Amino acid sequence: MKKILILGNSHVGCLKLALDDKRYEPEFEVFFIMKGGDHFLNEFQISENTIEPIGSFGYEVFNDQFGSKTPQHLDQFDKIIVFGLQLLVQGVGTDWKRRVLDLNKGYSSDVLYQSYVDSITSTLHYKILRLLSKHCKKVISVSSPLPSEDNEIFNPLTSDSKFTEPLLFKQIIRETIESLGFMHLSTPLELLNESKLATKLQFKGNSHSHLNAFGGELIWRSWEQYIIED
Amino acid sequence: LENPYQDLSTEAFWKLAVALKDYSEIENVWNPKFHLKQSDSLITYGSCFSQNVGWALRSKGFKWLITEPSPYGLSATSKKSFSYDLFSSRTGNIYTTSLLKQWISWSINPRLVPDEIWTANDRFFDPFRPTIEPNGFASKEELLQSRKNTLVAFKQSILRADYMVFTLGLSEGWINSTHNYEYPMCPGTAAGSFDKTEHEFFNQSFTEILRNLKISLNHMRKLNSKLKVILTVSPVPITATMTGKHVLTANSGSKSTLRAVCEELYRELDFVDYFPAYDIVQSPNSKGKFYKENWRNISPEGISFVMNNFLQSLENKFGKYPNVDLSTPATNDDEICDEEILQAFAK
Repeated sequence: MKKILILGNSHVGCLKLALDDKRYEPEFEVFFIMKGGDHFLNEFQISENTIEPIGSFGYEVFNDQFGSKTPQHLDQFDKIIVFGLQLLVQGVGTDWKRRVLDLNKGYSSDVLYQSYVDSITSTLHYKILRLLSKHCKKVISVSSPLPSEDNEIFNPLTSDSKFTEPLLFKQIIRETIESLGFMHLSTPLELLNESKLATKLQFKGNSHSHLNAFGGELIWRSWEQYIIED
Repeated sequence: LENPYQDLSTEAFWKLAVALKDYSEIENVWNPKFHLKQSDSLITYGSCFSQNVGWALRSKGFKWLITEPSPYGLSATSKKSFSYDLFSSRTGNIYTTSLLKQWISWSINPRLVPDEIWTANDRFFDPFRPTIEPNGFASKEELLQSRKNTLVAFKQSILRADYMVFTLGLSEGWINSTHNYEYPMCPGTAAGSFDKTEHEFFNQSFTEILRNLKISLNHMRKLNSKLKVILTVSPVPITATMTGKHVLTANSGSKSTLRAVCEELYRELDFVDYFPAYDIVQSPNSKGKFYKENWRNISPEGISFVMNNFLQSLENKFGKYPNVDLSTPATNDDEICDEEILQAFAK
């Protein structure tokens, strides 16, 4: 049976919910290594083709997932998925508003492009990909789910039909991550509302930015072919 | 025998103030005219050395006014590449007093800005800020919008500032002799192409440098009557000279002329002070320690020493600043010196 390792933060919760509810029953073995917020690298260290716990929370996770605190070789996994960890199509969280304002300030296209790239490379997601890129080739990068459509901060921006910036950002994310030799997947379209910039309410989890088990199931299914293929 | 030297403080005597001291012990080199407060808005312009001034003052809790901020998300490295946060607006290096005068005049009346634009490989370069975008602009419109932004931001910075720190860098430069405007760099070095029928070298005299700086100061004070100016001279030597002289004598001729202009204005104008960054770095007992291996760029330690001297002098005269730790370095890694491109032309 194939072994899949998922590295992530709180967004991973929806995947676990989907498994617990048996909404998705994988034909592969799944291991989760996660830490909420942006503290992943405080708990886990990636080096020399291994991942090991370095914090008390990390030890707990390892015990729970592998029954041991010992470092795990990354090459035992058929695929490693890096999920969430600050990488959002719209940039980073609510700071998206500032990006929208920047669009009309007369910045050059080069400097705006670079500001997007810098936002991506400054995320924990990208930093982990960089660490993995030294040792692994079988990594899939997946950005955080988009905020739900009732998100007050985000929603006003989605009403502008001429607003194509997120699509550009999506493309830059893909280019930046592919330059590391990894595949990047964004949120499956079935989760999104008409604007394609927000998650439908029916998939909203316990906050604007988290998905429920239904959302988790759709995400699992959107990855399936990439996980199964060699 | 009695004489007026007997009552002077130790700072007045070379032996006591310099020769018998380690370079690191030299103090009170500057007797500041103005009591800078941390809440005062400071703007910085000038040659590449002045890039260190804003960073150093900000690191010590002073309000370095940036009127042309970078877009959200741009990293510190990229800001440097795109010339953000080097000066208070994105003018690039202003090496000469005539170039300062030109920027002021264009910011007041943007219609005076020439329409010259350089192109290469389908990219567009601003002759007046040739290295501001590492690969040039994507279109002419983008370039013009960016320049317009900078002119507005430059004027805004003068209108809003309490103090301007301006670093004089060079006396040599290049003009378009047909239309009588100045380039910050010789066309054909960083971008553009050199045309000997149109591009003319100059090496300004004391009188010309002084006149241009006085006109600049007058314009700025008309915009902002409360503006005070702290002049410095860049201790970074000239990269290459077109005077026909040895670069060593060309450099000392240029720097001493700039230094003399500062002295003249310091004496004449009560709203102008001179901070002796040049004098500190050039002090013989530093034995060149403030320079990097190329004997041109100033080391981070040198910059930190100079800027700590700036603050120490203010504290000695006006009292300690809250939350300012002079024991920590005040530096900004490597400055962006466009003229170093000229080094590439050395045989």
